[in-house]
Amino acid sequence: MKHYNQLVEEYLDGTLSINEQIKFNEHLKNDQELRKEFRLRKEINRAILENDILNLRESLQEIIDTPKERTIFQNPFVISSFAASIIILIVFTWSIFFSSNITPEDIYINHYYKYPVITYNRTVSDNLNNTNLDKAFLNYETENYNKSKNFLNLVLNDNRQNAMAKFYLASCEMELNNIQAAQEIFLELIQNSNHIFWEQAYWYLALIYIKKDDIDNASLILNKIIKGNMCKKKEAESIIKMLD
Amino acid sequence: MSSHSYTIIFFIIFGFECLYIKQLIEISKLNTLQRKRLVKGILKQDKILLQKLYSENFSTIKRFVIENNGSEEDAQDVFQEAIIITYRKAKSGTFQLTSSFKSYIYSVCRFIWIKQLSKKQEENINVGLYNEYESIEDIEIDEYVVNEQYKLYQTHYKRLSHKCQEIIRLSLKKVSFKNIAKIMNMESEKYTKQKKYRCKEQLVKYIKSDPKFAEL
Repeated sequence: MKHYNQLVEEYLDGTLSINEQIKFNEHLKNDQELRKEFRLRKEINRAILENDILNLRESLQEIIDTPKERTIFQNPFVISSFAASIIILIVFTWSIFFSSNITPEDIYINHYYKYPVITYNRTVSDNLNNTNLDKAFLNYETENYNKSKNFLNLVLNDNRQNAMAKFYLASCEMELNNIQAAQEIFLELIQNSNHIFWEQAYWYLALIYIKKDDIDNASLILNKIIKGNMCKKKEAESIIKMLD
Repeated sequence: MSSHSYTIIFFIIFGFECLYIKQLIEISKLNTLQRKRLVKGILKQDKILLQKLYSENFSTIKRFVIENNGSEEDAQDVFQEAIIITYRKAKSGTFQLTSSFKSYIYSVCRFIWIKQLSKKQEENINVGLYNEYESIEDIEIDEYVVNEQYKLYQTHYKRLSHKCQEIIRLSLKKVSFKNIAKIMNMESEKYTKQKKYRCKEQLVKYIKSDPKFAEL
């Protein structure tokens, strides 16, 4: 007696004899489980025959995996608008800060908040690092930033590229008011867009420049947030308006 | 004001006018002919077009997914599936672009991500918040479901060895096992048939053991 699944496969392959086909059809009418299995295998076959979709998936994966080239400055229109924005800021910045009551420090205080601990996916291979990350997050949440830094540095000693550890290390520095140290880490984080903290790093960097009263660089970063349609676009636009 | 200041202001206005004119040009470009070209390009799987669609639209999709409890990888997956659904619609002749492609792909991506969030049923996500987006004109629920099923099957098919993939593919193309044995340089027709069966069983096992299979 042929195996249940083998019968289904042979039926779909068209290699059953006429008698076997008739028997199979009888079973199919009366056996719900067999019908379920038959439908599944038939759909799998259809999916496999979609050569065009399989190729499209591969092409899209290639495109996604290719590091993004930053072509922003290759577009003359973007250059002109960017230059125009910079000129506007240079021309009007002095009057803004001498005529307005809102100081950069006010803007910083109104917009800065401690970045919350996010959940993250664990993998078996980095159990040790996750233990250190857990400890770092626990200390971060309980405002023991120096302890949190120690654990984050342990994670980074193992993997210098860990963007999550870097980001929270910078956040600790922000909370400890070590603005220069935080700035250096955020500058490192914005170099590579292949991590989820890329846009947040831009935001905190802009806040650092505002806090340091470095309006030119703050405006530069805020405009990048706006033009890049990043997650803090609305806030960046509002700050730019405030500066205006 | 000095003449120097007037020159600067002139260049500022000129810069903004350039941007405005560029936007007008882009809007006028979205005519029927352009839409037809877009559909044709998607159907041809034109890599340059696909690259352009990705670079022009992905940041918006990424922002939406990340702001809604997802990661960049989730966003990539959502974008990929949205393009595949668009391709399926173009292939079946049901792809209608009534707004800009950016708006269209955003609504499809949003739909896919909301569906995925609904499946996850995570404690900290109030899916009800997103219900207003659950039905959109651009995509039918059946199209989404079929695409999800086929994605799962195709993903696991790609996990099989190249040899297994080829034997299954040839048998589905109705190539006889005798000829498959010849093409694949295998010892006998009987062995080829058994090999194909084992490969298919492996594939079904992969699929059934995937947690996503239970969610389908």
